[in-house]
Amino acid sequence: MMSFGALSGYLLVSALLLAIGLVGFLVRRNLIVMFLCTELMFQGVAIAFIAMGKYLFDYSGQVMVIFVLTVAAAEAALALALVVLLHRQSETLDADSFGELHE
Amino acid sequence: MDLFLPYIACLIFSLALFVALRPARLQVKAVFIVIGVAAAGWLLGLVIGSLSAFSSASQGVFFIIFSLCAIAAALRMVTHGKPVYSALYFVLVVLATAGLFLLLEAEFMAFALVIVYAGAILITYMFVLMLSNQAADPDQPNTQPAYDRLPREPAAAVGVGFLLLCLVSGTVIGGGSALPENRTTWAEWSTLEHLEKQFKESVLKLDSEFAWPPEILENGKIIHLEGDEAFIVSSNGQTLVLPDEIMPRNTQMVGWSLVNDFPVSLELAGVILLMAMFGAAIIARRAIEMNEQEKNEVFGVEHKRHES
Amino acid sequence: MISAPLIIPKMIAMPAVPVDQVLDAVNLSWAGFILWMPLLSLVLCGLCASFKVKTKAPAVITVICLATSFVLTLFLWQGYEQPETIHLFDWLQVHWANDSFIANFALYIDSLTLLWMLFVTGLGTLIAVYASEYMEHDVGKGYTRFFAGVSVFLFAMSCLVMGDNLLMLYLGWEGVGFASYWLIGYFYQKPSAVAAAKKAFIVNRIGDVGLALAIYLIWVTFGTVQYDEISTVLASNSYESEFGGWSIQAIPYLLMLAAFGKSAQLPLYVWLPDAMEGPTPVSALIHAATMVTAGIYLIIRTYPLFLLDSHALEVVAWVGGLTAFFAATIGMAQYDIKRIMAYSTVSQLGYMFLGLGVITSYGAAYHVFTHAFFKAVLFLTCGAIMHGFAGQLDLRRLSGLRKMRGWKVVSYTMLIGCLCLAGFPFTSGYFSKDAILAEAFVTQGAGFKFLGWLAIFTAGLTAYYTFRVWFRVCAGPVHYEAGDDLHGESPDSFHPHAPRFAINFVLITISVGALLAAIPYFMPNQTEGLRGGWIAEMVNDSPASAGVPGSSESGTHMTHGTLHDESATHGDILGMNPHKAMYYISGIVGFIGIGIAFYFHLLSRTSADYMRGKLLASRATRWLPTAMENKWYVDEIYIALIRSPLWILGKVFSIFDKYIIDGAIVNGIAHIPRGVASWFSPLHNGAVQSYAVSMLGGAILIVLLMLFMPEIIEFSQSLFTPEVLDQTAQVPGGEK
Repeated sequence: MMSFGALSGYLLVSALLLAIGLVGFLVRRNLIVMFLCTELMFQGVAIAFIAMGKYLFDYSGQVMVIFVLTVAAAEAALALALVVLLHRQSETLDADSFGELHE
Repeated sequence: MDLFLPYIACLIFSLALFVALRPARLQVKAVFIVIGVAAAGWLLGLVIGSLSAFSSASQGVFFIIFSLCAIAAALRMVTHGKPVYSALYFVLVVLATAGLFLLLEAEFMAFALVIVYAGAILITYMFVLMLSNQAADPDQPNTQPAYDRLPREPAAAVGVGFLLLCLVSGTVIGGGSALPENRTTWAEWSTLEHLEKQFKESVLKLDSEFAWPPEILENGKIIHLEGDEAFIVSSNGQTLVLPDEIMPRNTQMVGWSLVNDFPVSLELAGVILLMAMFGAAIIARRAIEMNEQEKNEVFGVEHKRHES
Repeated sequence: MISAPLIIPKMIAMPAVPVDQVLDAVNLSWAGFILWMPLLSLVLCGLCASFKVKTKAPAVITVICLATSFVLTLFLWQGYEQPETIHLFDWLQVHWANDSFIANFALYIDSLTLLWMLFVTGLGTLIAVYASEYMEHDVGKGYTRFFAGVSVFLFAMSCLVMGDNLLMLYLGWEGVGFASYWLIGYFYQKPSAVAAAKKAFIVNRIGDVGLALAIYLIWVTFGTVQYDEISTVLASNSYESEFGGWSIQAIPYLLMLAAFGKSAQLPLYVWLPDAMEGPTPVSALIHAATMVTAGIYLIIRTYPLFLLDSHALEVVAWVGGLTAFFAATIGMAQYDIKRIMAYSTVSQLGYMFLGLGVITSYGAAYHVFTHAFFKAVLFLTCGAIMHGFAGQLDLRRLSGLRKMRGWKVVSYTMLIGCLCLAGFPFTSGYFSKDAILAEAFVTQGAGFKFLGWLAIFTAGLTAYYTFRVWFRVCAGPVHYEAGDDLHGESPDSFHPHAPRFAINFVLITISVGALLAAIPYFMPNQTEGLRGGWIAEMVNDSPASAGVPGSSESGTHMTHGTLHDESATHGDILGMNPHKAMYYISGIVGFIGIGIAFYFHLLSRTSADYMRGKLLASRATRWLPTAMENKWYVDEIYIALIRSPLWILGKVFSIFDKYIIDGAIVNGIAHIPRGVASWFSPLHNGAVQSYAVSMLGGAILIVLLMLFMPEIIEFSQSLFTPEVLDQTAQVPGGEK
């Protein structure tokens, strides 16, 4: 039986990782590092799911993390394929240089 | 004043992150990362309250270690100038997270995480990084491309992060009253009921003279729960207390839950992976330049017919 | 309403012919053809225009149609016994619960109508013949348009004169205004002609407002707009004055305003001199003989209404008298002979209004009749001169025409016209002007005696300026200069071309008519007690019989007769009986005027210039010739007082419209979406991370909103109902 204090701790860790990943995503201009930061956000989410699952004695949390993992893998594959394509086209990984869709 | 302490901790953390993001020497960055980690630790302490929240002191200690490690690695990952190092620090984050999972008794997930993330996804990232990295000049250590060194509007980003943190910490502190009260270990016992063979084997191992099958209660279940104890009643009135050791393991639980409760999602996850495979293969395909003659050789039936 | 100074004769009860007693309509419905013939001519001219006919065919068509109208008028006149209404077709009939407004297309023929129609159609035909030769330069270019305009004009004038209700009069009124505009602007490529046409139309419009309001007030007060029914209502005194009593009093003034506009009196006369931009036949027909008499016709038709208000006729008399004097002074100082004739027309119209004001509708009608003839002659001769001398109209540059071969007819017909205009004894103008002048001394009214003397002085001025023209242009040594309309000839080898048959024939005919117009004065009267000859007979049978001397229909004009007998209230001139003394006085004044003109413009022409130079030199008198030559600056005053403020107002409104309504409001509103969009367009910068920041910001806001929803609801409720803070209000979103 987990106490609520422990749950709070886990949730806070999850929030911290989420926040750091968020800040990293918004701040870094290298495309690959941006995706890495999204993966960091996934980590935070995973911790939150599992902590809540443990607290509520429901294994759906862990199942959800399996799916999160799956989607993260799929997304990483496709994102990296796109990054490779972009890099081939313009020899740079700078996110700000791909700004043609603007007003 | 007590009300604002978590927010102050969030603020310190955000400011430390903000400063650490800017291009500076390693020492400066390290100092601020340490400050950030310290602030995070303080925040954790405020939130947890006291170490007695954990079931044992060692759990609390390990929790602190793993979480601070994760946070420190995450901070360094976000502020590091070279992308490969960011990926490596991410591996460290993954390992720390796996540790946290272990503390939460989710062994399967911990190792799945390590295998899939650190073993597969990050390898892929490394490949792409190596393929596309514009290496810096080894003589001058700080000539990385600008998009790696300079952050993009750190103020707005850190502000948003700060808001998020405040929200969550504000919610989490003292929010336990909103969660449901009814928490039992019923999930494990009911799964055990479904794993008939294992159930029978473990019951007979406990008490070889137990009359199988046991009696079925009116709600269709076999195992009775009273307080913390679980027991079964055999058909001839024999009661057997089930110890915690025969509960199914985490992996079994996860597997059962996955197949029983989310079969469709399981299939769909498979489909997603298939699509991702196809998609990646098609997206990254290199277009081959063929001139007319080569095209004719490959597809050339109509043209020949036209000529004759 | 009756005041002491002007003693109004008692109201006459004109026996109106009830509409259902129309005499055998079959007999007289052919009279409608008097109207339809000019209309037919218009249609045929239109066809000529569309087929681009290049001959004089339109002139032939018009002359034939107008001559037919004239012949039909003669038949009508011959068969005339009493006033009749000839119903042509139903036109406007509007019925409400209690009222109705009926205006049919019907002809009301009484002797006044016939008098007018005789000279309108007669002169119309003759002038059309004249114009067929005068306008020959424009055959194929504007010829058809001219004759179409003349046809429209005659149709409208016939409507005006022969209509049996005020609405048909209004139709004709507007129609002649339009025809006048069309024909003045005949030379539409000349900006001065276009401006003159606009001026004529707009100034007439000012008068038309009066007419429209008067018709409305008449309908409201009397319940009808038909002449005969108005007379019935008036006689039975069963009308009610609406709007607190001033509607009855307002009607004459409004009608007066309309008449002043159409007949070019002060202050609305400014369009008539400028209307000389039109071709001369137009000036002769429209602005001398017929259209400008429409105002007088209107007043004569509605004379009983004028008699209701004691001051209306005084106003008419004063305006007429002052106009006569004013226009004469301007005419004395002009050099363009057509302009002089135009001012002369204004002046003579003033005489006619003076006549109406002193209650001699007989005198006014007679003067209309004679003026039509001699003014037409004068204009037509000016036109012949203009036609023959390539547009030269300056009397300083023409001289001795009567000695030139081929110009004798023109000169001597002009002499006849001048004699009539000047009131030379025993010409028609002499008798008609005398009737008016005498009555000014007979009738008691505010300052009528002064007006009478002023009118006599003006008669002298008239004689002077008329003979100034004749002595300068037709007498003296032969000298001519070509004008500007050279039609391809060079000024050095210019030969004047004398008028040929058509022009000469018309000039002779009309001048003979002018001379013969004196005869009606001597014709015996069938009606007992009447004096004044045939004209008096014609006017007597109309609503204006109050102004006929000696008319004594059932109590009418008794007071006039009484005025004659009671010397206490009888006006007199220098102690003598005005009617008899006027013969001599006007004759003497005329001779003086002719004599002065003879001296200055024939015997010693240089002395005229010398006199003028002396006047200009002395500071005290410098203003006199300058002002007279510049038409007393009336046009400039109008521009300053009326046109400029309106123009400035128009500019202000245009700027307001352009910058505020179009610029600030319409375009401003159009700019709002663009402005708002430009606030938001930096959000679309193509950078994924900035999109992410915006998304996160929004997400956090939503989360905050959801978290604090209960407090927000409570707060907003406390704003609206501060005294009721319902703590138990249902709040969505649950607890935190």
